[in-house]
Amino acid sequence: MLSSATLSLDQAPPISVPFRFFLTAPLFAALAGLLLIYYGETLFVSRWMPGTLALVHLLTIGFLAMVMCGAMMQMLPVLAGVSVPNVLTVPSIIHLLLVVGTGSLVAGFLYTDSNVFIFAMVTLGGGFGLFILLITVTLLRVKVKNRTVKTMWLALFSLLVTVILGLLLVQSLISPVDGLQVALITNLHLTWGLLGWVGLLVIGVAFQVVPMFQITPEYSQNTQRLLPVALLFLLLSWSIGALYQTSLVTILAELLLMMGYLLFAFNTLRLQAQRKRKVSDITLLFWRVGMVSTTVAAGLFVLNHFSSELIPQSKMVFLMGSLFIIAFGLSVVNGMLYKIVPFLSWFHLQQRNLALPREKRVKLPNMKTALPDRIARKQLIAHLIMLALLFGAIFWPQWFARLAGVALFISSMMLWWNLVIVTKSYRAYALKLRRRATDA
Amino acid sequence: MSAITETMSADHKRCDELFAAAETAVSESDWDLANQALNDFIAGMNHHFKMEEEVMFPAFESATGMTMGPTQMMRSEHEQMRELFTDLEAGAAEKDVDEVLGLCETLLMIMQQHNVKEEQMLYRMADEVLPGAEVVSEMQAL
Repeated sequence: MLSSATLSLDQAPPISVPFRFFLTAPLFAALAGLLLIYYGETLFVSRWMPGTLALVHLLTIGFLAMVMCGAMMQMLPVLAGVSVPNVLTVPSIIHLLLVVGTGSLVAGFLYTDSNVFIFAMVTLGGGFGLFILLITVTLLRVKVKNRTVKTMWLALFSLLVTVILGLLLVQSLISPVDGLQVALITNLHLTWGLLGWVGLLVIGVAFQVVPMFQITPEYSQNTQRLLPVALLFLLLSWSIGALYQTSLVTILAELLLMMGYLLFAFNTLRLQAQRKRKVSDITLLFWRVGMVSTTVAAGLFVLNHFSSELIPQSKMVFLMGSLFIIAFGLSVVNGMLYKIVPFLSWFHLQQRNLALPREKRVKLPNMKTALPDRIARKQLIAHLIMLALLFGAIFWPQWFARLAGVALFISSMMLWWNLVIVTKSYRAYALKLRRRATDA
Repeated sequence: MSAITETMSADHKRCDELFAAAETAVSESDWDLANQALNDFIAGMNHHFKMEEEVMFPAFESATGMTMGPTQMMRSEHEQMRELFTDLEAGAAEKDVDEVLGLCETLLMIMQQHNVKEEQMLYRMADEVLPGAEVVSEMQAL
């Protein structure tokens, strides 16, 4: 039975909550660009290079997790019909801890300093711990369960696993942990992070927003019901197989896991092709880049398994990492920001506008006046050039690594600036509305 | 029972399709078609709002005793959308493609997040507390 008395639909957090996450994230991606310019081809020597680890975490925690945490706190009231408790203080603390934590983790990698690592463990452990707690409390209060909410549970569980393994790995950098197989735990950590937390959250959100934004048919009921659970089950099987060195289970699970992502990406592209909306859309273009990349990544993984001569293993690691973290993760999140940020800005302004008497109302900029397609499109082009240079850098690092860094820096700063443009417009109109409200 | 959820969600879908047709016509600067399609879309939306505001919301409010709860929020979002309809008509009168497409984008976003809240919460709650079939036939009689 629904307890309707406790349910209100007006629970959007203040705009400063999500915006602080969205506006800091591109700066971390830009820092990753600077790091790549500074270290150049050495970052492509091995995945264990301290600089490479720093770069990866600037992108995964500094950019991806930063936006995803902010967006989750924003979306829950809409998707789940519940508010996030204590909407201002706790998210501000989480944001601060994630910013400081990412910075100190990166500094720890670059300068191998135990004290900095300890500080990173406390701040990141605290930030993610608080976030997981906050979302758990929120999800428990959800009255009407839907597929997205169920998938969020699975993503949140994956985040918990990722964070615990991450903390364990940092601990092992401070002082060796007895019996810890660092390579194995690292593989578990990154797989739960990318194919669990990031992948499952994107899938859960896609179930809602792909049909919504483009007016496409829904994902099939079977896909929505079975895919997220199946992926989590495969992640678990793969982990157990890896821990107990049962190669048959591991190989089978990882192939099926990749097939699952292939299915999702392919399905999304198919639905998008059937969209009723015909106007070109910047978010759609970013999502298509992300879905094509996932298809390529999963396809390559399967192919490479059957003919390992195809791509040398040393290159394969960088290829898979770049495809999943940057070509899939960054693209999809970047595209989402172009919908969420202008919409929230308009939504908050218009609510205040309508509270004014009619003669005092202001004509507000619509989403595309606040963020013209033209400038978003330029950033998409920068992003695509960055991807091309990055893939070049994997095979010819001495030629392309620094150029890819420059492109990553430029593309991230363009994204940041575009979001700043929207925020500035929001501020200007918010001020105008406040003056109108106080004018006699 | 899920009579309200089913009927009203299907009407959302119908409005979505009218929206897509209107937006496509505007993007092609086919103003004869666009004006007609925009009118059809806005009429469809207004009819949907009317079914909710005149039949379902009052019934829900008297059955639950909540007048300041979810229905109040839905009414305020209807108001936000009506405001955009006025802007859309003004933009279409001036044949301003960029303005109308920008408004369409904005409208689609608020419309869709509004629909999610209704389809996944309010309608399901209404189906639990109201005689679904009766409410549906009363709404369809409008």
